[in-house]
Amino acid sequence: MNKIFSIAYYTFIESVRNKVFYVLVLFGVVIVFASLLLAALGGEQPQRILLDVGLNAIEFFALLTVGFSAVTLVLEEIESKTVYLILTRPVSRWTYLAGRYLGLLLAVYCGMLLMALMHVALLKLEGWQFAARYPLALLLSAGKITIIGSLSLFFSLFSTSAVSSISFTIFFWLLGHFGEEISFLSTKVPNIFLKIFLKAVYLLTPNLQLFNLRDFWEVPGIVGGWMFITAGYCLVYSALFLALSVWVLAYKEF
Amino acid sequence: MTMARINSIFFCVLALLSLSVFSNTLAPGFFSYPYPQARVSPVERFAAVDMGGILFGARRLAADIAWIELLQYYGSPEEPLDRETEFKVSWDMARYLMGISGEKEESHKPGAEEEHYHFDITGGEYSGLYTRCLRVARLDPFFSHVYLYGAGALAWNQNRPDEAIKLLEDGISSIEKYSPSISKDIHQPFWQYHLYLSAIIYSKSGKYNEMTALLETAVRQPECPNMVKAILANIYQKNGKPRDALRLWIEIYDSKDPTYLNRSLSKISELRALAGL
Repeated sequence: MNKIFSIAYYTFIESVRNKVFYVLVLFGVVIVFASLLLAALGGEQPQRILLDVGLNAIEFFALLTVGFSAVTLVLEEIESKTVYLILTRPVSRWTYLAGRYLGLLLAVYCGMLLMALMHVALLKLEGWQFAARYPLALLLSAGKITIIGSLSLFFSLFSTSAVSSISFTIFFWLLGHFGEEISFLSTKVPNIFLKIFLKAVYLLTPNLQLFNLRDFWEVPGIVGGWMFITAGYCLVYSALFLALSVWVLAYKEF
Repeated sequence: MTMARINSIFFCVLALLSLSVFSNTLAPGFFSYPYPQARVSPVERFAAVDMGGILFGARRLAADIAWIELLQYYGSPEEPLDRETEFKVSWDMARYLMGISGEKEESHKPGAEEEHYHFDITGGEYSGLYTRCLRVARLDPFFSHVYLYGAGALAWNQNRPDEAIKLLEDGISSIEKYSPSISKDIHQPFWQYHLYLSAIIYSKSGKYNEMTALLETAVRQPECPNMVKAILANIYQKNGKPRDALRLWIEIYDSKDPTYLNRSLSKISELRALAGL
């Protein structure tokens, strides 16, 4: 466990010092501030617009950060051969991968927290009453990022280029949000093969709508036990993609 | 890495995959998607933008953008403005956004409104108003303000009560479908929709006193759009109650809604003079 934490720590430091990470977090902060302009155009709904733009910006920039960082997380070390410095020591490949993944997640969560603090400060300036749903929505967004991070890591080891793995990640992000529509379509299409295919897609892809509390802000009766269910769901899916990544890495020749 | 180790990872992957499929099979039991299924936007030229919002899991944000677009549609004159007026309107908005709109208490004084320009939004026909409200509601059926604003504008500004009734009925059916327990709290959008519906039906059948009484209840609700307050204030002014009208316009001014800023200033000055204050 200590080995995982040591690798996670140096990955965290590495990510935080990365220029891309800085640029993305700073850009996120700028967008959160720019939402003030949109809020001014929203007539009697400035708080709602400020809340929505901010939460979406936080999640979107966290997605970009985790996507771009996860893609280069292991590939860069393989290409620069620095991976030998770790794997020639008594560190198993899964320990290495888990440490790298946890370190990256920690850095992205810090970025999200920074953006959220700015966002709450702006909302407070607009006279917003703090709601318990805000930290929950943020936690669930972090859950999405956890799954997408592991998925992105898997694609980076599986595909041949960084561009293709980022494209796959974004595709699965969209698919994850479109799951409910796919499920609905599978009940409507008459073709049995298409029906089975759609159902299989629905069952295999992570349903990111489960984590979309920022989109269900005013929907009554949604919090409570739901948080525990999503926590379990997030754990299962991120463990699955991490295990797949370990499996792919096991076959890799350096 | 040994083959046995690789095999054990493979079995671990298989077990997790089965668990993931199992989770997805169980998920609908705990979570029912609260939104209606995606369909083509009622305003076809925005269909791609709206679908993009749904695909990215950002329905509320897409609804917000549609709401801003609706406000811009209903807040702009249907006929193109002449260059001088367009400059005045743009400059007014720029000054507001930069925080130099002169939005001070002194500007309540008579004559202060002469610096500002506003056009009459009741002038045009705005035939696309209903579909634009519906577009926002299709994206986020819980955006209750759109129903109230849209119904108010259609019924009293545009004199199209049938469209207003259709819009409110749509809102009521959305709430009945997605909200599991509708309380008897008047603040719930469900009851507000019914209140507006009744007021519009009274107005349609010429029972203006009953309609006014319902509007008085409506403006006391926290979600009441400024437009409905403005409508009631105009009724008060017409019925010779300038003090009641003034109270409502001050409320509108205090809400800091940029779309009503200039109009409320102008009305406050006018009504102060009328009431002899």
